[in-house]
Amino acid sequence: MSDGAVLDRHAPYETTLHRDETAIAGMWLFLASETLLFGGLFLVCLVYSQTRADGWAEGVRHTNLAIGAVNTLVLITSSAIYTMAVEAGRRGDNRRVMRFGLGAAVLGLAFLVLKGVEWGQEFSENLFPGPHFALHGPNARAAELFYSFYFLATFLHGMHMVVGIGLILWIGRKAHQGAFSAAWSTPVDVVGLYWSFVDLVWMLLFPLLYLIGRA
Amino acid sequence: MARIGICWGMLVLLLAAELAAARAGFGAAVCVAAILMVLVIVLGFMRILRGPPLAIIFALGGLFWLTILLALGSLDSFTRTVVPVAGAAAYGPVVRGGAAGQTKGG
Repeated sequence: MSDGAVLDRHAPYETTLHRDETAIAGMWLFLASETLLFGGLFLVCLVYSQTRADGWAEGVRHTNLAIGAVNTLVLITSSAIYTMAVEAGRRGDNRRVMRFGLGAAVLGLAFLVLKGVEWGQEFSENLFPGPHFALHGPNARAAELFYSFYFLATFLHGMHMVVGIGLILWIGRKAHQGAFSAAWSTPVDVVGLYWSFVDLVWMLLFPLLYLIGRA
Repeated sequence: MARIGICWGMLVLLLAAELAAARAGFGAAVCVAAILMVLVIVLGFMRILRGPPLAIIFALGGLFWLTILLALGSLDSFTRTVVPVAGAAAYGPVVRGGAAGQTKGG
């Protein structure tokens, strides 16, 4: 579809502005539903980190803080770089959309690789919940509960990362074809909202999984 | 671009503060830093205040329902009183500061 076709096509909306604002609002509605999806996980954490605090904290102390902190920095930087792509999209600068998008995707991939390394360490240390769980003692069951939460939350977040990277690569391809202009760059904005949300979720997961209870 | 750089700098500083607070054992400070990081992302990267009014309504709606979820979901756990019961089953729930065998009473 050419730029002109996209710019002119706004039915069933009254105007192109109405169409673009609806797309933005639609993404926010989706993110609100995602908030409740992750909210269920946060509720689990809130309850068990209080009612089984000692075992929960023991689990926190066994996570790899160095990898977690580096990954947080990587994700912050990735989100910032993609926001630059959004700004470039608003100026109609397709080349920069592509470059910044690629940079953000590479950092997202780096996050997943580091997370994979961390998971590998945890599997080799038998920290995955099950009959061979490594930790013993009075708090072992609660620590196992923590690791159930840990693996579920990081898997769910990782899946969102994979989807986000795919969307960014799609944006990069569209930018390579010169699809965006100063008058229309809504897909870049919408994907930016999703990518920042994935970043935001990690900003909450990081302290829950690595920090609170560690000292 | 300057706005993005400032937001990135704030996030890095907040991350450093978060790590320092965790090392010192200030769990509340860690939570405050995390919430500030979320605010920086929502206001600085996602620019919610520049979005269409409907987007702001959806964002506030998500926050509202999240509050309901967390508040009602955790209410029971946080308002129960732990009452030791003599001869309770050894596999009773282990509660904070307590030992196996204690049960929870309403």
